[in-house]
Amino acid sequence: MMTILQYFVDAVALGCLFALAAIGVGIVFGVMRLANFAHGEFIMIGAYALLMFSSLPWEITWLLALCFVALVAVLTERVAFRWLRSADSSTLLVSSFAVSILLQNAVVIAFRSRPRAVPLPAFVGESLDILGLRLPVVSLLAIVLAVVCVAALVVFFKRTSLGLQMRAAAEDFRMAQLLGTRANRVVAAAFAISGILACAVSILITARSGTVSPTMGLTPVLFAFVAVTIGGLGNLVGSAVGGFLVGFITIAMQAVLPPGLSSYMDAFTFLAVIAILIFRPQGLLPSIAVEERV
Amino acid sequence: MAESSLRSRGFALWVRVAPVVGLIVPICLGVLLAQAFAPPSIKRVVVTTLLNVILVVGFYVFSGNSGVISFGHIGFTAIGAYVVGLLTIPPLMKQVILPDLPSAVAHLSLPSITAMLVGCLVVAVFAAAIGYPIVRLKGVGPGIATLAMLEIIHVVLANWKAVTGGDSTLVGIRIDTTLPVITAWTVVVLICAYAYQTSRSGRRLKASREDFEAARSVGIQVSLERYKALILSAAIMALGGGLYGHYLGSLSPRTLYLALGFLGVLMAVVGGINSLSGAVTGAVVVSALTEALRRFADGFSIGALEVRSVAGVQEVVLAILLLVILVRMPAGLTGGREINLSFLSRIRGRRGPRAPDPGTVEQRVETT
Repeated sequence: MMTILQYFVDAVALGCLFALAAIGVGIVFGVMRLANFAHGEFIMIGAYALLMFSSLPWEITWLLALCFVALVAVLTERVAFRWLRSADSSTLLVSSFAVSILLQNAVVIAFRSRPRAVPLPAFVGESLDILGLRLPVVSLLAIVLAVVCVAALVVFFKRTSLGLQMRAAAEDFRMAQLLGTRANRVVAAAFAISGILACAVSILITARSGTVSPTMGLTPVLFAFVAVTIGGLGNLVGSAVGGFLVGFITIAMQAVLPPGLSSYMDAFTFLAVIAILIFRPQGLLPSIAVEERV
Repeated sequence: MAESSLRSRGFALWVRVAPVVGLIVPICLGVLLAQAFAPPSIKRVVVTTLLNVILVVGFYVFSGNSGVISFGHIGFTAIGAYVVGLLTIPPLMKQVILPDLPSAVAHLSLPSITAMLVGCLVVAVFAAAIGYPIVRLKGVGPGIATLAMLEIIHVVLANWKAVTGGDSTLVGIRIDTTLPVITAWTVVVLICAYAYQTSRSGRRLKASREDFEAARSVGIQVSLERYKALILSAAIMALGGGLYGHYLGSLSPRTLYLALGFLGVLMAVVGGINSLSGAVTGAVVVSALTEALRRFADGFSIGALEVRSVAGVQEVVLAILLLVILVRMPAGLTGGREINLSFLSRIRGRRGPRAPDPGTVEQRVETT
């Protein structure tokens, strides 16, 4: 019983991490139909920002890193993606590869390609014991960050004018524009939010591993893409659900697979993903807006 | 009368094959020049460029014709490379580096050409076995499913110690992908790809790319056509993999993975993913750019001034150049058209009918 509960806690924590990454990818996809591969680089830059500002108290470090990544994300949109807004989705996706190569190697030039250790606030390494259940602070942090981010997003989407405009743009970009939504503002806001979410993921990943490297963004962005797709494209709730599901599948594989097969864990996770796609081709929570009308 | 119908038939044939001739002739001329005059280092560059051409054309046969982007094609290449490598490494060598190899493979040592063909067949069967559910997906589904397939292939190759040697490098592959060999294979691949795209199935697939619902409404079974293209395309990717192994002499799961796969997709889009000419152009241009930047970034000296190389600069410059190309020409360098050589016959004073344009330019609905 206790082990199952323990696995459950791990799964929720990992699910929160993937959900944050997936919402970040999903929000940009919603307004721009851009599957932003460079999101992984936002996560990586967030981790390097934590390293850069690590001499300051941790609250300020985190705040500065969040702002920094949001800024990088907005700048990326301004410099690269704005010119491609009318391009088709494959061109957009490929240009996001190019942006990802660009950002990754800019970091290589600045920091070299060797992995580096990030100083962490002391409490991150600890864990609480509640009735024999081990609760690492890292897991609690994941849950807290996810809850805070999602709550903030809900308020943003339901209560603010910009949030409303963003939802409208996600539904039908052109119609929203005709009704007076400023395209540039909405897209910039979407990128800023995705940058902040990316940095939340960087905090969680560095708290788990303690190191940063220029290629660290690849794995989270792959899982985020997968989560967004199985959740149902263009639907943020779906993205979050997809993220949780990927987290649960991963932990379930860890729990179930015999030791001889444990090195094949990722293969089984992705097999499960393909299975979900085959049985639910539109994702678990499909959005109506994505299906093109004939 | 008879002569004129013969003439127009000849013209029709010429129009039909002109685009692929227009690709093969410059490639062969370039190779001849390199073979005759170039130093070995340039010859190596030409070989890698042609390897990229084969891989990008393989990717194009599926993704270009169908409009469905696959990220996992490099996985077919990886399987092909390992199958071909395992079939050609001398048995004595295999006993040393892979002692646990099943005996059926352990004693085999095939000539390279046979091994390449077997590799293509194996991967084609693999694609046929797993492909159908994937091609039935819509939107970004196939993209993610193929990505998942690549991850699975990669994990298996990197962990199946008995057969692939696991994460360590598989060595001892005969190095015999020379310039003439790869040129011959490139020509074969181009002809296959072109024959496919002008075949009935290829045209149906292109029709479904231009308008999915309209194609379905005239009775095209889109999934079936995609499935056929996927199998052919997987076989070409496998051939590319086999040639790659026989060019490097060694293989590791990491070299045939996401980075190379993304580069392939990028090459196709830069050249213009909607046409075979675009795929070839993209592969050649991006390979040439990469090589030029590599030489430049390796450091150079002007008089007493030594400019040392800085890691990452090459990639940054390449990425910026590619972004500029994508922004200025979203449909790629060729704009998605085939090379049009039909003007050559007009030079001789004959006014033939205008060549039909096989790759119609998409009319996009702007989203801004």
